[in-house]
Amino acid sequence: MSAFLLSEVAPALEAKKALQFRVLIAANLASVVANENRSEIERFNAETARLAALLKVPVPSALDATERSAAVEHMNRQLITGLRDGSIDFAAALTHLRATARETLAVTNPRFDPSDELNQ
Amino acid sequence: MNERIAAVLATHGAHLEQVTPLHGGACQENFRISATVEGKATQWALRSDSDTSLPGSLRRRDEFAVIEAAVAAGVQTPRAQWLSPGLLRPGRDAYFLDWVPGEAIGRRVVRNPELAGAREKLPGALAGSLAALHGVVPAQVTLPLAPVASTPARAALTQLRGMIDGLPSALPAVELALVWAEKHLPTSSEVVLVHGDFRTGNFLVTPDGLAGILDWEFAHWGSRYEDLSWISVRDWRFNRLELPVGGFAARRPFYDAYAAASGHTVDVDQVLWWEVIGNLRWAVGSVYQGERYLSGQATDLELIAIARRCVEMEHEALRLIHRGAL
Repeated sequence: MSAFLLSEVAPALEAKKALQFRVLIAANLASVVANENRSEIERFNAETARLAALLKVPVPSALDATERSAAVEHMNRQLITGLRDGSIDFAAALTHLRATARETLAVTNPRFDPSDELNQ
Repeated sequence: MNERIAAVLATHGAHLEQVTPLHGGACQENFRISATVEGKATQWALRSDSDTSLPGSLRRRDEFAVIEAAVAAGVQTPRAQWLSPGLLRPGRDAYFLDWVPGEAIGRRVVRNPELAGAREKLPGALAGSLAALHGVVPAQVTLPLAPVASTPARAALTQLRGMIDGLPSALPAVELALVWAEKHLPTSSEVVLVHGDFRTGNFLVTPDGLAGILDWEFAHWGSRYEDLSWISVRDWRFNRLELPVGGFAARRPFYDAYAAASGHTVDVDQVLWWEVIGNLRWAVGSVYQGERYLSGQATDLELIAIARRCVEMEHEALRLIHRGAL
């Protein structure tokens, strides 16, 4: 889908810049979603392993994408509760969340620079 | 409409030649007004209320009052003139602004080679205008702006909390950042006039330097640190990530210039706090844009692309928290 939009549709829209811009966005989104789908199970496993350790609960078993999404949402709500009442270690949660953000960004925006030493 | 514009101009000795629509945004309509005054070509911008408005965004009549106060204080910004109720639409206010040529598009301001010399002058010029703006305080100037109920920092957290509570999914990175923000809450109750969207993209630059600060629709009473930090929020560096002030300068020269102009030494811990908040506001705001698309309220595909930026802003907030210092 992404290749079609980029190689066939976008060049034909040279004269309609606003539409061409949206075609480029659509192509990029299609490509990002494809990448996300390919890596989704690995990222789910990594994220829920860390969450399970933080929350001291078992790693969830989930059969399909909908169940995986629900499992992560449930654990995230527990994480939020634990952060607010202080029962979860802040530094450990911070490390987990930074790792999760990086794993997501590696797929959704590989050009994003996640280094801590961004010139301050 | 053109007749009414021509009539206002005529009372000030100007003859209308042309009205050209400009890009406006959701809550206002902007036009370029070309006219002649005693045969000499002159221009103004015209800003009018539209039929929609966003919460937290000033109406033109209130924006007009803010600009008057800013100009009187010495801020470099185009003068607002001739507040005209009902000029373009019944019940909607409009006003004219001195037309100032220059480049405002962020990616060009930070990258165009012909603006390299201007970029060197920006920290000093912007710091000077900000210092002048932050010298406007409620005790001295009455403005149609909401008072701050508690402290600006507490008000910012309450506002963020309100934005997040309306969203469907859990945002644990945002929640962790709020726990941090609560723990490190600045206690200052100082309240000054704040621009509210002070960043690259909202000021005009020419090869000679700063030409004018724009877009006062988010002005409010608040903390000077909102303006001092928003300009460093990651997205507003337009990919010049190594230049944290607006994508054109390091922090030290800007903070030193601000201190010299205002007499107020910049507390970098407060800049850090407000910069975390700024990245969070942008993260949550971007999720909102995505929700508007998903709920059918808006149909611009770009909103989905914007919503996906949320993780980038979350990452930036977490990075700042992890560093614990600028």
